[in-house]
Amino acid sequence: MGRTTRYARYASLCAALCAIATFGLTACGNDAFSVREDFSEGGPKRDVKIDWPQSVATDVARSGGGYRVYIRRGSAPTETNTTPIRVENPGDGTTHVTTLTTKLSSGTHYISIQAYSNSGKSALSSPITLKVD
Amino acid sequence: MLMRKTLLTLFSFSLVALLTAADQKNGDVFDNGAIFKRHELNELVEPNTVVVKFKNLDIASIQAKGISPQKFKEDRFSNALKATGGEGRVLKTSHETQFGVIRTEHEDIASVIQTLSKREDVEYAQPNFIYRKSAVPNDPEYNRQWGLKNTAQTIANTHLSESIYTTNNAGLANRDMGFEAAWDKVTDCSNVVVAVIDTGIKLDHDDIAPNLWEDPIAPGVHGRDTVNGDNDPTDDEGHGTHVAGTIGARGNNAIGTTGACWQVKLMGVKVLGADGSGTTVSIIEGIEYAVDKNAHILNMSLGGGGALDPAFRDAVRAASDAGALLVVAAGNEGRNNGSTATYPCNFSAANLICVGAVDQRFSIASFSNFSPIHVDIGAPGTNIISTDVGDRVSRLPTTWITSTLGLGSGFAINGPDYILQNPSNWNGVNRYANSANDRAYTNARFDLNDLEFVQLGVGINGSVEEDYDFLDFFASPSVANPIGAAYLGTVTGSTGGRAVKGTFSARVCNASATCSVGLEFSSDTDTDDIGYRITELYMEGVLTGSTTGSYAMNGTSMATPHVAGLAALIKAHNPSFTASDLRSAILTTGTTISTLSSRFATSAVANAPNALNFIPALHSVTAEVVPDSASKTAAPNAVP
Repeated sequence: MGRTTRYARYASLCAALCAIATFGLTACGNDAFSVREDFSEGGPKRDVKIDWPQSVATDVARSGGGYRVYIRRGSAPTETNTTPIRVENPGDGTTHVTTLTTKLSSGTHYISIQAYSNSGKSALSSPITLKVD
Repeated sequence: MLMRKTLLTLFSFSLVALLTAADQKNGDVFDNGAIFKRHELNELVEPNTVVVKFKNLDIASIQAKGISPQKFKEDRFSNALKATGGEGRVLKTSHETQFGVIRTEHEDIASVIQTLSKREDVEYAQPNFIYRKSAVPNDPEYNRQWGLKNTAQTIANTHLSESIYTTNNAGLANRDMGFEAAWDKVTDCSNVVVAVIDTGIKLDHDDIAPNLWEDPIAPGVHGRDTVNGDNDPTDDEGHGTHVAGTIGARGNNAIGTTGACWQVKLMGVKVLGADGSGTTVSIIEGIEYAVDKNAHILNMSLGGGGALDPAFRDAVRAASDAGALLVVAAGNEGRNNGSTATYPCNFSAANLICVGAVDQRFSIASFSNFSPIHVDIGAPGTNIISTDVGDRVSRLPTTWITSTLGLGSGFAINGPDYILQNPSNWNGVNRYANSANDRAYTNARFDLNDLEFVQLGVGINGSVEEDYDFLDFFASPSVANPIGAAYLGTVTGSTGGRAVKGTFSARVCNASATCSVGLEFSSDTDTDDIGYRITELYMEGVLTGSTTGSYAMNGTSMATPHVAGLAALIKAHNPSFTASDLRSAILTTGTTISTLSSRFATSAVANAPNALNFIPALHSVTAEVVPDSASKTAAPNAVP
């Protein structure tokens, strides 16, 4: 799986958390680069893995292309009510990153994916729901 | 030669790129909106990417400190990366030239450049500019193809038989489909097969021959003729050749016109005969052939109204279900297809696009059928220049009727051009006689020895009792008096108070050095009228064996291949797109024109660069709680 700079950013956040892992607040494993922490909600978090098919649009695999993952608790996300997690493709013209592991707190989450390129973006996919206890 | 996108941006970015590091360190270059705006930067440079050039190494001093020069070089990039905030990575470096490419998480690369430029070891930092090839073809007729590039040019006729659409000619600059911007991304559609289901294609046209599809199992075969039941789809009418050229006349070859695709695979499927008409059976066979031969896109600039044709409908649906995109014409009756059905436009099929015609200002063409339900989108359809069946020339009747021997009592020569009128004192008020049978024919004949595709061109002004009084046209390749010989056609009714132009096929005079033309005016026993003045009369054809030529035509037939060509461009750029994706790309990205809201379902004219940027929505997204951390996993397929 290709790494993305977005992952790198969250990796640095996770590294900071690793420093306090001894206090039992969180844990960072080998897959820390692909994990995003959801800090917006309190309570216990669960690892959630989201997968999507690669876009058929050529430009999505090119430089500046990738996917935006919209997650919203309680109702369907839109481009205006939710800040997405950006999952950037490597930009080599062929490789797609089509999975994201993140942490979500309990509740019903609505998830949509948007493919984007340097010059366009898709509509959000029909939202799926995921209930995390 | 590589050129930046526009001269303006060339100037702007060169200015930035050539500024010294010291200038940049002043902090007013990339912060200065007067130099360039943020959106311009985003469009013309690679996002999140910075090119950095380090100062030359003093190898001796580095080694004196006991540091490996190689390690020092690598550290410089790492340190530079950290200086940007520690987010990103070094994509590539060149230790020889001391420059590297940094992929930064910062979307505000101007600030990253400013940060890097302030470093003592950095000579300069800059965006990674995007260069593009110059996508303006060198074809000599390109400047007349307003549908591809509208410069508010006036389209004048270059052949007598060309009927120029005068409304909104000239039009408005940039009221076009934006193909130049699209060509920055793709011009080569040679991985796409487009079937031209029409009157055939002139296979040896210099602008088309390089772009012909060839049957992989039958070399030398470029399609099918379902009218004559053979594998030679040679055009014997001209319409299909014109359509084919709009889709894929070879671009940038310094010949004639250019197509929407500069290279493509054009499959000739002749389903219409030399008279421009076909049957249910010939058309169905053509559709099935195209699908069987794996054409991606079927262009059907044809149609008719009236009763539902279930066999035609089923063939269209079968092609759609097989994954082909069908691009079809709305029709040229100027009527609402919601009131009077036109097929195949009105057929319901998942992968069908029905195209109406707009003029050079994006107003609907007067002849274009419309319907906010059945006609999907508009495209340029007036004064469209495209490939012709040869080099066209005209011959005037320089010795038309030199005596009154052939002149009926009602005819008179109209002016010095040896053209006729009936009644003889025609002035738009005087009336012709009832029970007339007036005849006239050429005295000196036309020498058309070097021509084929011969047609008689006429311009007529006036009115006769429609369907009861007539002006008939005849021709003969051999006899002096052609009346009663080869019948060419008839004019009846009113021209609406103005001269109108038209042509009749006169193939009987192909290669004839002694072609005679005759007219017969006949009226019944009652209801006279003002009669006709013939304002123009000539013979026209294409030079036998010629393999170039272009021509102006009007019609939804001309609008349709603009969209089919665009579909081919999209398919070429996105080979994994389905026909449904192609349809969505075209219909969801058009240029919205408010006055088209009651005319086309999308209220829009197709837009090539927008359609090329289309990205289909994703499906089959799944999500699950990772088992070892989960207490419960929910079904991920609910759609609110």
